[in-house]
Amino acid sequence: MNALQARYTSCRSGLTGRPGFQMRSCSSGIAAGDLAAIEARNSYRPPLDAPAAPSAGQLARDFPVALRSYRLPSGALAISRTVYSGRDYSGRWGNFFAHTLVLEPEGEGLPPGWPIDYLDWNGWVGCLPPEEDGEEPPEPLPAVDLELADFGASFGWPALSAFLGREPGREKLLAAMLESLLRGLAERRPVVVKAGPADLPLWIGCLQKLLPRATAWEIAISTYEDDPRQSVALTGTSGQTYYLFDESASRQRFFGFDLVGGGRGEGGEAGRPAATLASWLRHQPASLERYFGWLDGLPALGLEELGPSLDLYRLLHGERDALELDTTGLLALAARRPLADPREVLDAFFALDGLPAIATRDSDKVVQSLLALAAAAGSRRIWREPLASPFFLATAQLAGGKEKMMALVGRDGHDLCDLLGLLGRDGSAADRALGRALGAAIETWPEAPAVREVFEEAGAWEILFGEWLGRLETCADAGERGAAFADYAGGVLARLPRFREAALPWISWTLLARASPQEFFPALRGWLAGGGLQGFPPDLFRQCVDRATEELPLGPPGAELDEVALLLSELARERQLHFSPDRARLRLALRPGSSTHLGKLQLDELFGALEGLGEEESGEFLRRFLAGALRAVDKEVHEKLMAALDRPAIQPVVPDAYAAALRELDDAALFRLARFWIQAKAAGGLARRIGEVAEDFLIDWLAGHPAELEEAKARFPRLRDSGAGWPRWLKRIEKRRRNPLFRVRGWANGVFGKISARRQ
Amino acid sequence: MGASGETCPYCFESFRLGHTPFRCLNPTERCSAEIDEKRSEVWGEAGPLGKVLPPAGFSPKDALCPQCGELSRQRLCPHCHMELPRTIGQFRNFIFAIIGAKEAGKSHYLAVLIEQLRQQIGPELKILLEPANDATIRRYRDDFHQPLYRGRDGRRQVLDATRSARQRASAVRTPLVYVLSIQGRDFFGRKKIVAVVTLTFFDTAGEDLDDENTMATVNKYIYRSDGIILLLDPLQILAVRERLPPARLPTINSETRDILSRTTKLILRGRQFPAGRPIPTPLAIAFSKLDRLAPLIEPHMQIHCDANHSGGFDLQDAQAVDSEIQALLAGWDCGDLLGQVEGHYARHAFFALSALGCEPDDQGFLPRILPRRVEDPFLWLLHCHGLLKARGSR
Repeated sequence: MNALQARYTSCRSGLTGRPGFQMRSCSSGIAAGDLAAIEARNSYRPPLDAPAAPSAGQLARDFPVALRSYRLPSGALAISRTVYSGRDYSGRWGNFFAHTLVLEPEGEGLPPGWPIDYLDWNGWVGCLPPEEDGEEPPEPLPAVDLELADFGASFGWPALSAFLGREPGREKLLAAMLESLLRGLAERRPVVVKAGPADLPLWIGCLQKLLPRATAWEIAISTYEDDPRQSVALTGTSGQTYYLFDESASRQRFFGFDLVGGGRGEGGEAGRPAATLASWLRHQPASLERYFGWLDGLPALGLEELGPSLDLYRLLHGERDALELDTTGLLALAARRPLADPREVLDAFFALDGLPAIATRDSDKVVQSLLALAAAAGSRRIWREPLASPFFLATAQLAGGKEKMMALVGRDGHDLCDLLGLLGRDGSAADRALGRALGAAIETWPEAPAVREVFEEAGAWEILFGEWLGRLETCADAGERGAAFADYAGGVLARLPRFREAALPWISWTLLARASPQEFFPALRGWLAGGGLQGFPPDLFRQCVDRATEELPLGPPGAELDEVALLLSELARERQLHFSPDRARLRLALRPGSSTHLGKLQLDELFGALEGLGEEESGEFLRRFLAGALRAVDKEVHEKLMAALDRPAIQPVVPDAYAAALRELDDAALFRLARFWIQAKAAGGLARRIGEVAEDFLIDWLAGHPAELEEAKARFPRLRDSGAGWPRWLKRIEKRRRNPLFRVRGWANGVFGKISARRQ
Repeated sequence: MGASGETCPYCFESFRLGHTPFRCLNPTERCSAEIDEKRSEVWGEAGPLGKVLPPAGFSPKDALCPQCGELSRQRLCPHCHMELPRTIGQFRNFIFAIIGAKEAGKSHYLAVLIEQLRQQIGPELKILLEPANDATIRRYRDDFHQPLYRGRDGRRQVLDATRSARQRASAVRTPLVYVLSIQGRDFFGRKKIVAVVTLTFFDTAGEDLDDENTMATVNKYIYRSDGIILLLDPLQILAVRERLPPARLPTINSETRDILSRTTKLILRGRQFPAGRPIPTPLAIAFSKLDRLAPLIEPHMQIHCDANHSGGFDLQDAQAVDSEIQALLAGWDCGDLLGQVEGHYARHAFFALSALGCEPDDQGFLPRILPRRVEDPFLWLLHCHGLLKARGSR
């Protein structure tokens, strides 16, 4: 891999042609944006407590080195080494020299080693010799071949392991640093480590080398900064700088580890992956090397994948303790990324000592991962495997686990049936919901016909029926529902005779249940007349009849609905069904001519059928019923009628209904009723209230009809039982006739009556 | 001020006071911090900060944090999200630019000027100069005062070369912000504050003036400034170099000749002034390193004396020095400089000063600091803006 170079310092002449801080020289080929970004990063200020006029030895020993690695705007990686160089060409202190390598990636390959390894590279330049700092423009720098570079051994595994072992507690501290780094990357809070100039790069090196190479190159580091505002993801600092490691400052901006002053910011305890990696670096660097070797060549892992990848590695390399592993994470990672042979992962997983406990919220994720692995391994019936079955059963026992699993399995009917058999179908609500979800999904599968046949063979009606429900739910109106049924009947039911026989009533009912009354009753009449309804399963039969009796209108008259009412009544009688209200019976009572058989009707039963009906509908029924009945009623029947109407459920609506019925009668019927009411004995309760309403109406009628009044004067006094009734009526009639308002009303009625008649 | 707009003392962008967001100042334990994307973008700062609370209503004076319920009065610049000084909106914000070529002595001048204003001139003129924020206190202490007045290793030392503002290090890019209170007496003779101004000083690196990008912070600092102190190194003038012993002369820096014309172009372009119209920004042209020039200046000249600013700006002294320097420049073949100044700037004056008053040794250590006339250009700028009366005037 080639690397382009750029060098920055305060010099007499550089790329600007003027003196001062600037790019002294660079390789051709570095983009202008990258060069500006490099310049922006190339800063160095010595610690405030560093020697003011350092000797050459002090420069090399006492000033921290800033090794920075970061990504440039063009996407190329940059790694730079900045050192304090003391005085510049003008003799002023404060100069520094930054040497940057721009790494040109070839394909997907990574630069050799970890960024920290570059601190040991022998190709770095640390100052501009005065003899080279002339006025003439500098030559472009050549590219460097990093494959030939020598990185030394300062940051090798043995050196870092030895460094951790030098003092007790370093391993634990490193694990905490890693935990903070992972957390900080997620929260965009840097981790800052303060240590002496000698130890600082080693701490940064240890921390960086706990990460896979691809990840490490993605995380910006700087082994030295003096200002917290310039912190990058992993930053080192040394000496007296603007970094404060007191509680409030570090909490606000960074996770701090002050290894000199002992101050340590928040960061929390190390998790298991961090602790494992730190322990490996300290005690088993070879394990860490093997782990990274296993990851090498694979695409860069996300930070959240670091823990799962470690667990997957441990699973595949002999770790057998299920409780120690993040099962959900490692399976998801193995299913998502081609990190290992799926068969190998499954074998290792099911060979664990005991099945891992899966949290409810993770069950679908785990099952999904296992199925994906099984599919990748070419083993589609994973649940049939002796080791896998208990796991699936255990997962299914979680809340909603069965549905989640079924929704995740493949599209093979045999697989589905196998799994259904494994899980057990007990007809519970959960099973129906499961069937519905699956059935709705089947419709879209190309292999649906074969799958359906397998289901029919297995008697998995819930699933097949679920498919129909899925289709039905997508229909917006009756037309679409009809078309869907036609399609389903031709495409599915015709090929599945057993299912058709068992499910047709249900399918029909699902259509009827969604149909409007105008669509429902004709269909119902057909079923009733043809006897189909009687053959329905009891609960479906009851659902149909219930809807019919709830929605059957009492009017207007119509032969079709009358027939439905008649058939329903017969069915109810036959099966001894009781409805409340009994709309069929009420509708039949309103048919023309029914009132002629009034004496024969069992009035109590009829009015009992009104129970449960609303007041408005009850009043309307009574008005229409009484208007028919009162036309031909005799005195005896009228008295029976009055007695039957005296029922608590309908008492409030009877007087008004009776008065309304009177308005629909002809003069002969009214004359006859007037005679009944004059002869009526004093009564209490409902009959008294009806009498008052009727008397008031009839007096009004007689006062307005002189001919009928004269006839009444001639006949009614002679009536037996009239008593004092008629003289009292006469007084009221005379009073009414003299009332000016009555006269005006009579005149108006006459005028409007004529107008109305002319219009008609 | 509040209605017509403010200028951020950090990014030098204009904004209206009613548009400033606020920052929740509650500690992280009580209100979680978050990344301030704008601050991070403009200043390259990492790490989470207190929540940014958008302004609510017309000209709000504070904002309530929806998370912790704490009231915050800490205003932020809408453009760069830096915390604005508490005086913003109450007093006028003046930006005084100190510019000059590389090695002209800008950092030393700034360091000594602030110290003089605080310790000597301030008490004389009843001027109180206070840093506006902790960052200014820290930066001035560590980068200027400590090495120059206290010294590292117990020895005073010249300042390090200023790093370029093109670098990401925001300490370099962040100006020093001060609040200057001018005291006086009321009708009854009682003490009172008669004016308060916010002063912004940006320690520019000479090389940054080469950037032609008008949006660069350092350039906005110049063309939006209310007064410019242009430091010129007289040791770069050929006639001066010829008359001084060659030892210890600085290397020739060709950019010194161009600095004024580059600055003029920058202001004309940045402020979009029509050609031919003089720039109204007061320009103080100050020749630094006066102590090195002493052999070339006649002993009777006013330059050798100290101005007496007790009771007000010594205008007569300034006028005398201005005339003398113009005469010296004419004698040193610098007529082009005089022509440029006359032609482009409506108000200008020449000054001579020495920040350190002595030469450092080979290692850069200073035996003492004897500043000469460092306050003159600054006080002249205050006088031009009516903030400081001339001595003897009423």
